[in-house]
Amino acid sequence: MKLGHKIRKIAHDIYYKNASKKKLEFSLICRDVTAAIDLRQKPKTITDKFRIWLHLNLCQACKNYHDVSLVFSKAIKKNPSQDAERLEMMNKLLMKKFGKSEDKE
Amino acid sequence: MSLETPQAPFELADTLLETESFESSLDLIKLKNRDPVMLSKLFADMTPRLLRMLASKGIYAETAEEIVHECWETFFTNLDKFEGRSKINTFIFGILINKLREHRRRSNRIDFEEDSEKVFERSFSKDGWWSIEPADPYRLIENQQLGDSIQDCLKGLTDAQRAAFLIIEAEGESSESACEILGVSISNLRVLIFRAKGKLRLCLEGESSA
Repeated sequence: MKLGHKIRKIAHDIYYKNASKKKLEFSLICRDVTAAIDLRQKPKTITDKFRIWLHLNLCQACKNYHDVSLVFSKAIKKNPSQDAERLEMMNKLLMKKFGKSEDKE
Repeated sequence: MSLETPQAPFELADTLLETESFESSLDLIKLKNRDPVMLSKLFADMTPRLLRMLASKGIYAETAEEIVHECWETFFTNLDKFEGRSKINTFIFGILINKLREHRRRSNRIDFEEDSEKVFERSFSKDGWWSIEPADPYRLIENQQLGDSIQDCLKGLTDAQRAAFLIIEAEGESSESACEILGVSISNLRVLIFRAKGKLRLCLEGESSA
């Protein structure tokens, strides 16, 4: 196990042992954190931001999920794969078809 | 490909921020008056996105261009009735999705869903913790050809999963807009994206180890 993972696991175990004894759920549950990642929901308050950050630093599984989502996000944006010339031609045709006619009476 | 490691306390949460859109420079009145500058901006911004969406569904070249033309035709026919209550790109994507359904009906292709809901429910315990934890994505991070591979892997998703994933990740739409475009609830959208990511990961890790 990598060092970062070991540290995260220790911190996670300490936090959740104490949190569940004292019935504290400040750092959110995995289902909610992954929902925020999937739906790209912006945290509304600074407390919410901190709660998500705390969870992602304590929970290796959610950190992995977050990292995978980032990887997909970057990969899909990096690969537009379109013919620029053809696109320009198409936009010119669209302008001609839907633009204001100069011959309008 | 290396993964950015957030340094400041809230950077991780900040990666959930939305991207900038064409909406901020849109003047609806100018658009309705067919102002050439506004039209040119609209086409420059939206046409590539519409084509990308169609490409993700395996529709390319002349067929894709035909559908995009139909989409714009419907857009301009209905533009005078558009009051700006929803975002304009939501409106356009909604038209595209309908045109795509019409196209599929014409070409006798059937859209079907699978067990996204079941897979999603199995992934979390009733208390909301992971029951099947995602593994370290080191193999994905090391894959230099991920951008090319992901386009192939997208073909393995259902139409609904692919559309949901692309609308959020590639097009940067908000979850509310995505729900409106696809005609699904927020919980359905979440399940679709979750399943899409699970399938993509399996596909990409299979390619990485090949």
